[in-house]
Amino acid sequence: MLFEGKIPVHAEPSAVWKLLLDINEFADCVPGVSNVVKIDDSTFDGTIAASVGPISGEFAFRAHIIESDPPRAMAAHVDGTDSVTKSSMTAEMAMTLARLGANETELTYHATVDIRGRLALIGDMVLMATAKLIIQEFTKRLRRKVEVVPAPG
Amino acid sequence: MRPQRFDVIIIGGGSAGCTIAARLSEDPGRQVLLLEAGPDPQPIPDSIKLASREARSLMESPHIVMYPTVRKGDGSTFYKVSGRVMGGGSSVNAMAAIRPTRSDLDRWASLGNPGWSFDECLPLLKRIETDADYPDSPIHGSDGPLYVKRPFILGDPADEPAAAFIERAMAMGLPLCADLNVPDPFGVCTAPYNIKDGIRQSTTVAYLDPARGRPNLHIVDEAIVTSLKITGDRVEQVVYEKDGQSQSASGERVVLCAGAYQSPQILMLSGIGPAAELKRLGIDVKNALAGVGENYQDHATVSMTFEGRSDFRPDWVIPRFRLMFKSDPSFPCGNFHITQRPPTRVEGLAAMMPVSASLVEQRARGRLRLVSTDPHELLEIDDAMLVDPDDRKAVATAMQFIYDLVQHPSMEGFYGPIIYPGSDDDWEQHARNTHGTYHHGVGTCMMGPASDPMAVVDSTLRVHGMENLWVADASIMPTVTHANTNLTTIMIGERLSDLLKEA
Ligand SMILES: Cc1cc2nc3c(=O)[nH]c(=O)nc-3n(C[C@H](O)[C@H](O)[C@H](O)COP(=O)(O)OP(=O)(O)OC[C@H]3O[C@@H](n4cnc5c(N)ncnc54)[C@H](O)[C@@H]3O)c2cc1C
Repeated sequence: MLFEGKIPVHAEPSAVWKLLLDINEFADCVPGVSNVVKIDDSTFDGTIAASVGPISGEFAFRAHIIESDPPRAMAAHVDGTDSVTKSSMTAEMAMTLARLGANETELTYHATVDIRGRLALIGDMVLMATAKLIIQEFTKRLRRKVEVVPAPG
Repeated sequence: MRPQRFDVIIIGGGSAGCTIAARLSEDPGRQVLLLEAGPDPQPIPDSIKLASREARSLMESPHIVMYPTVRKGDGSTFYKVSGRVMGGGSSVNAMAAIRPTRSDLDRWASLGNPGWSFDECLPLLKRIETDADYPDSPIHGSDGPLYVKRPFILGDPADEPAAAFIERAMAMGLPLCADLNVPDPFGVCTAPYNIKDGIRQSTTVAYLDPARGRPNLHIVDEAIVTSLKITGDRVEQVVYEKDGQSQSASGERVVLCAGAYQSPQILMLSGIGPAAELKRLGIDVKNALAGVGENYQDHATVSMTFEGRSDFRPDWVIPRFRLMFKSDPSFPCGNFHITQRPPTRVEGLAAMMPVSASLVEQRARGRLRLVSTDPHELLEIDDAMLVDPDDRKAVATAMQFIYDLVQHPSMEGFYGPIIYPGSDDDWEQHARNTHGTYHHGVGTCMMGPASDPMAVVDSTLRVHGMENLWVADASIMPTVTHANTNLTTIMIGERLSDLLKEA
């Protein structure tokens, strides 16, 4: 599954970068994430709880920053396993920050997510809808945290 | 004691295989061997037995085989599924007990298959079931092995989102249809299930268990059939693996019931199939039949996800009903099953409420290809789902119907704006890129007259060109039914039993 898009933020790239690197602040922007533990400067663990119909599960993941070019680009690798089906998920994510003007940054993301095991039977449509809402909510929370001037609208 | 030679060997103890094993062993003089690749756990574990565990069991059960399949839209992968355990699909499926429609069976007959019209098959459909709701109806059965009941009857109290959904569907012109198992179902239908007092009525429970004590019925589980040894037009031996050893059995008649994904594989590994394909893999061609593995059809499922209203109580229940929708009013019966789906919840997000549409027909034909001569390797699936422009158009029509149904003031209390696909997205393309399956793969050993080059079995289910080999499972369906496929497969098993008893 491929997720890509652009998030305009009314802030300087350095402010967005700082938030992305602060594990707790970043995790706070991602809905459903809890138990975040910093392993080292570029690695953290966490869990996401979700229920799909009658099945509730917890997804434990480890995120590892594999490339960092402050404050412009970052690449991360995420591995996860879910508690119910023991399915595995791997994601390769890339983010770039472009300064469009004073207090104007465009965050571009590109993620490929690969799910192996029974979790895949839940269906791409459910997973894509969930991802879409997570990204929308992430955008809201990120903006709330870093924007100097409230975004119009 | 196990005889030297069996009268009938049945390969695969699934929906059809268990039915046939039970029916043919009714005659104590007939020695029947049933070989099943999966285990035959007794007592049946709760994960299979309890109907309430169905969704979870699909996620966790060790008895599931997943077949990776590439979507035609964007090349992404999804999975077809089959059950590998006694009862096969009937031990892992969603237990909807839906009959084929009149138009389905009449079409089979019109394709050169005498005896398969709806009216000719109705006695079989009746004798399968004990319909708890309509025991006195002239079209239903009251003393068959399979218990069938509609857990929800139209008019029963339902939670508000479901009641509103039904009312809105009716306002959009769908009639009420109290029984989905009428010959031409259409409208808001109550759905029958093979669940009795919360217990799954698989073919293991309904057919095989009552027959187990018979001394003439021999059951070997965890026996994987790898090939048939063929001389001329006869199967001489059935070769299988058991406990890591190669073993064989011989029988007067051999019936292949390994399902739509495995029956063609066993045929091809035995030298029955498309000659060029077999030669490519170095398999000695015993009987060139171009149609083996061809004619694959399934039902594509697409979902539209809407925001759930956060102020509505999260524990509402979706009763067992579905909309049988026609994307074209001129069709004889509905060509979509439309259902409300349970919400997905992630802390901090609005609930996500999908509504799904399953296209219960397929115009283009797919195929299964043998990848190697290793019997443990899965066939490669080219399913051709949503390839035909008319199928895609039909799906877009059904999606628009769902959108119009849900995005209406009367539904506002439950369903919010659409999340996925977006209202501006190309829905047809979206369907091609993200569809799943309703799990009704069929057709890969098609029934048809010898004049049809794609036919694998004739109307008596005997393999063309073979003297003592039959196929009886979902693979023989010439066209996929406008219904879930389990009941039709059991019907095929009943028909084969009659044919072999008469032969
Ligand atoms: C998840 C899911 C949900 C479904 N939901 C419904 C539903 O609600 N209602 C409905 O009507 N239909 C449903 N279906 C479809 C229905 O269950 C199938 O169409 C039906 O079970 C097919 O029966 P069959 O006899 O052709 O094959 P199966 O039931 O699959 O039987 C084939 C058997 O052969 C065995 N076998 C395979 N290879 C070998 C070998 N080499 N040697 C020995 N044995 C072998 C298998 O282990 C299996 O037991 C569902 C299917 C699935 C997978």
